[in-house]
Amino acid sequence: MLIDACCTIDNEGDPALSPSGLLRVMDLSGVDRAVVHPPDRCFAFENDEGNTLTTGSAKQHPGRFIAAVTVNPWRRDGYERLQKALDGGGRLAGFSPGLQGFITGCGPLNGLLEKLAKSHPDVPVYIHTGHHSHGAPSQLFLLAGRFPEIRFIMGHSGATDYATDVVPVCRQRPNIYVESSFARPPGFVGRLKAVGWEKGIMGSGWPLNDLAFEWSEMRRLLPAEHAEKVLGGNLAALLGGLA
Amino acid sequence: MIVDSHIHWPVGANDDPAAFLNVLDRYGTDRAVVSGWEIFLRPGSVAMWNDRLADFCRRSGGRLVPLATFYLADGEAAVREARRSLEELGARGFKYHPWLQGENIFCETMYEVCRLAGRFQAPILFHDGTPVYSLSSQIAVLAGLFPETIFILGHGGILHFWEEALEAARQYPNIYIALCGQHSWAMQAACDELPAARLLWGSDYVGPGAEEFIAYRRGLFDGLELSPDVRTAILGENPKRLFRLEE
Repeated sequence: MLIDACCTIDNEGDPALSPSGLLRVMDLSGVDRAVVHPPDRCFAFENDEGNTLTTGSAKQHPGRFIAAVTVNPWRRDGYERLQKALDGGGRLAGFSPGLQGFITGCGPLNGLLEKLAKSHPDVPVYIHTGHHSHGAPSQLFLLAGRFPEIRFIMGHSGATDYATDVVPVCRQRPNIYVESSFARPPGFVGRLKAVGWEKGIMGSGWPLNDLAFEWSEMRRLLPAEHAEKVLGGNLAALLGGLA
Repeated sequence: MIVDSHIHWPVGANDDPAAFLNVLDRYGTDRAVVSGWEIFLRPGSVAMWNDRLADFCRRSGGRLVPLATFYLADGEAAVREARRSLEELGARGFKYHPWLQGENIFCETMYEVCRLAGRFQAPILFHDGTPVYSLSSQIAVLAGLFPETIFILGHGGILHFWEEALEAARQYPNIYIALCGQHSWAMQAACDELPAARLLWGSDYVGPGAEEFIAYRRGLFDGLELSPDVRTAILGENPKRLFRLEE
C-alpha cells in the first residue's frame, strides 16, 4: 500500500487544494492513501474547522484519506478539543510549533501530551520541523526523550537547514520516525541509510510540492528492497494497520 | 543553452575541471557560474581559494566562470581581495554565504564591497532564507542601500521565507531570484509574479556524491508552467547577460 504522509487540503481559496483535487493527483501517481493535514490557518487558530475538514474528508473517502488533526496547545481547552477530533476520526495528532507559537519540548505541548499519552497511547504525534527557531530536530529530541512511550514523526526531517541534525537525533531516539516532504528525495534517502529504513515515511508535501514528481523521484532513488516500507509500510504499521 | 547559476565545486578535493564538466554533461548543463566550497567551511587564505577556483575555471574551455568571495572580518583587505578577484582573476561576481561564513552583513566592509560590485556590475549571489544573517529581507536592506548593485537571492527564501523573498524582489528591481532550493509552489509563484528577466536557475550541487540534486532540481524546474521564452530566459539568456558569459 502506497501512502503519502503529508498532504494539506483546504476548502477555501484555490480549488486545486480540495480533497477531490488531491484524489486526482493521487490516482495519477498510483498513491493509495494520503494523510490529510489541515491548512496553516487551521493550525494557528481555527483548529476545529481544520479537524472537521480532515476527519470529514476521511469519512467521505474511506480507504483514501487518513485524517491528521491538531489543536493549538496554548488553548485552555486544547486537550478536550483534540480528544474530540481524535474520537471523530483523527488518526494522527499534528503540531506545528512555528505556526502555533511554542517551542517543542517546552511549555504548553507537554501538558497536552501527558494527557494524550494516557488516553490515546497509539496515536502517533507528527511534529513539523524545519522552522528555524521553532522547528529544530533537537527540540523534538528533548520532547521524545520526555515521552518515550509516544511515537513521533519528524515532519519534513528538519528541512532545510537542520538536515544535518537528523541522524544524531534519530540514532538516540528510537521513538522518532522521519517524514520526507521538503527534505528532497536524494538527501532523505541518504539519511535513511543511517537512521534505518524502518524509520522512513514518504510524504510529498502536496500542494506546495508536485505530488507526482516527488513520488517519481522517491521511487527512482529508494533501494527496491526498502521501498515498500518507506512508501507506506512503515506508516501503516505505525497506525496499527489500515483496513 | 542551459546555465547553472548556483553551483559549487570543491576545488581542494579535485581541481580537474574535466571531472566537473563530466557531471555537467551528464545532466545536459552547458555552462556554470561556479562558487567554491571549501572556502566557506575552512577559510584559510581567501586569496588562495579564489586563485584556485579561478584557475580551475580558466582550464574549462570557457564553460565555467567563477564567483569569488571575501571575509568581512578582513576589513579593508576584504575589499582589496574583492577588487583583485574582479580585475585579475576574471570573477564575474561574488558568492557570499553569511550563515556559513558567520558574519553580519551590515558593516562598512560589506557596504564597500557592494559599492565595488555596483561599479563593476558584478552581481553578489547570497545564500538566503536562513536566520540570523541570511534572511531575504536583510539582503533587501542592502539592495535598498545600494540600488546600483545587483543582489541575487541564491535560494529565493528556501522553504520558510519564500514569500519574503518575493516581496523583496517586488520592492527592489536590483534583486534577482535563483530558482534553487524552494518548493515547486514558490518557484512557480516567482515565475508568475516577477519579471522573467530577474530569474535564474541553479542546482546548488556541492560536489561528488550529490549528483542527484541536479536531477531533482532540474526536474522541479521542468515541471513549472512556463512559456518557452521564459524558460529560455531563466536557463540561458539571463545568466548570459548577468554574468557576461560571452566575454
